[in-house]
Amino acid sequence: VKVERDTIQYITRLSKLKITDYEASELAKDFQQVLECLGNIKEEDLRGLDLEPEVEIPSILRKDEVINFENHRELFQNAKRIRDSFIAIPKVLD
Amino acid sequence: MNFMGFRKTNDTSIYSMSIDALKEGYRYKLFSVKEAVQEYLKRIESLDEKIGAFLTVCADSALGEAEAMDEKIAKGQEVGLLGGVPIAIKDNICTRGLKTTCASRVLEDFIPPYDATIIKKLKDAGAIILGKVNLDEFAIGSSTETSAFQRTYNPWNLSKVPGGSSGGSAAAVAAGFAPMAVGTDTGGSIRQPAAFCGTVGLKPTYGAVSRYGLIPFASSLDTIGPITGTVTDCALSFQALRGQDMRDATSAKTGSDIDYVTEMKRGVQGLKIGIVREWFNEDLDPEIEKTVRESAQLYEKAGAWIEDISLPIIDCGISAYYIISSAEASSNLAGYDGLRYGYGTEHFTDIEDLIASTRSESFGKEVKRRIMLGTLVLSSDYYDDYYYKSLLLRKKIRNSFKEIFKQYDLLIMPTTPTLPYDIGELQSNPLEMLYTATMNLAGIPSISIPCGFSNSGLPIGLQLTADHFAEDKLFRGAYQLEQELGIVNRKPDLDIQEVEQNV
Repeated sequence: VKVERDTIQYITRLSKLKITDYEASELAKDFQQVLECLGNIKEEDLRGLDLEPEVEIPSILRKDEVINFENHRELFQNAKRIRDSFIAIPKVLD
Repeated sequence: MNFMGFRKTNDTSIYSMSIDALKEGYRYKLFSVKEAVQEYLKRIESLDEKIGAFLTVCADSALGEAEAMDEKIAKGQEVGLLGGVPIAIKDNICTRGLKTTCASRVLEDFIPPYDATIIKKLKDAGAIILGKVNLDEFAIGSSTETSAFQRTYNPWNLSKVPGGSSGGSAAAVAAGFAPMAVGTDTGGSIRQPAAFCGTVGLKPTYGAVSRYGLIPFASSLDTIGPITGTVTDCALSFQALRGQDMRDATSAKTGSDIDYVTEMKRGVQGLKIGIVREWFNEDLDPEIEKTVRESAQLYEKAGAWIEDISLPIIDCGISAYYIISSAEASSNLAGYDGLRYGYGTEHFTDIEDLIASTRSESFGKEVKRRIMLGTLVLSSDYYDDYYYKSLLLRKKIRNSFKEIFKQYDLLIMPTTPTLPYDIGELQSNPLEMLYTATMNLAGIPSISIPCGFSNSGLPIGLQLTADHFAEDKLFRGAYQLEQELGIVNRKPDLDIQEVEQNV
């Protein structure tokens, strides 16, 4: 498979990143090489395999109960801005 | 043999002591916990400038905890498995009130409001946190060079990398900054730096140690484990870390009452050990091959059965690892959008631009590359050929190991194909994880222990691997070799290196 620069631009959008045209060309070459290198998995005989677990794994969900977080200030200490009891985020709609 | 200068540790300085020796010292009142912590802090302050292991040092809280521990000891109270033992924590594990950055700009100012489960467990066991140590950004890398903040240097030779991603953890232990440091291993990130820095590193069975509070890289592969100076310390630390946690649904409840320190002294008599042919291939440095094979002979002398075996499928393991880990990283790192916490850009036009600019400005080059590679193999054109095939291959690898472990107790192999390389030489080489990543795919435990030195004076690591939850066998094998080799007291001499550099 050839990795085109367009593919890289598409992947960049999906990844929510920004790159320059030059970086896109470089990455296209880089990923082309990487995929060639990783291509050895295609030669493996994978017939008869599936992704079902061999043994039934019992559910180990914990009880659904409310645990109060005592220090609210600490919980919000990483928020950039607080307004009343809400996290304020940058204005993105006009 | 005095190339870099070995620090011979019949010396009685506290920083050269094992966890065991420290605990003895406290018990017989040879020194107090506060004195020990002060000595470590002093050493970090004077020497870490050269090593670059620590991102954050928390001297005040460490001294406070040390005083409290001394009071407990004076009152004759129970102090715990790691009572008064100073430790360092890799900076991708959440510590309440203590900055946790993942060595990334995106979390530069992040202060977790809670402790990871293993931090709680270590504190309950009496350990004292000295600080947080460096890593490759988000643990993606194998040289600690992708850290956004600083380089870390190999204490055995300051022009070499310490390995990674837990390079700060391994360098801190090797430099005598702490007898134990916690690391994380997704494809070899505990074992490879442990080997490069001449320390012991355990990647536990997937599910043996809770990951609640670990900032994830690839969730189906990530494990947390100890890096220490000795096998005994490693077994003790693992004992403190392990156990099921209701906050991590992947953590398992098995074999919790084994006392590893007693168990490991049983030796290797009667154990069947396999040497996997494919792991001694053309990529392997001849000096490493020779040293590892010599160690294998020591096992034979100690009464183990050694056999050559073949496991051809492992050749593809590294590919499947690279695909699965990148795919999971792309998903785990999707949440850093600059909206609620973490780095946020100042200049943007709309919400799409806000998120894309935030991420582009704050992630390093290698992290971006892996996010994109992961997104690529998950995209519709590539999914079936790469991602889905990797998942099937992973199952096949797991099945192959299961078959092997019906016949063998342990497998033996090198930890790394190369010796520690120069800083700046290779930023990210997937081949570095050639001998380690397969175990993460299978979820089985592995340990790396020092087994000798190259002619240039660099440490060489030997790796043992065993079936799921058979850490007891790993410790038996590792302890036996440590006893036979008698190199455990060799430590790098940082003072001599300084003299050499100044000349």
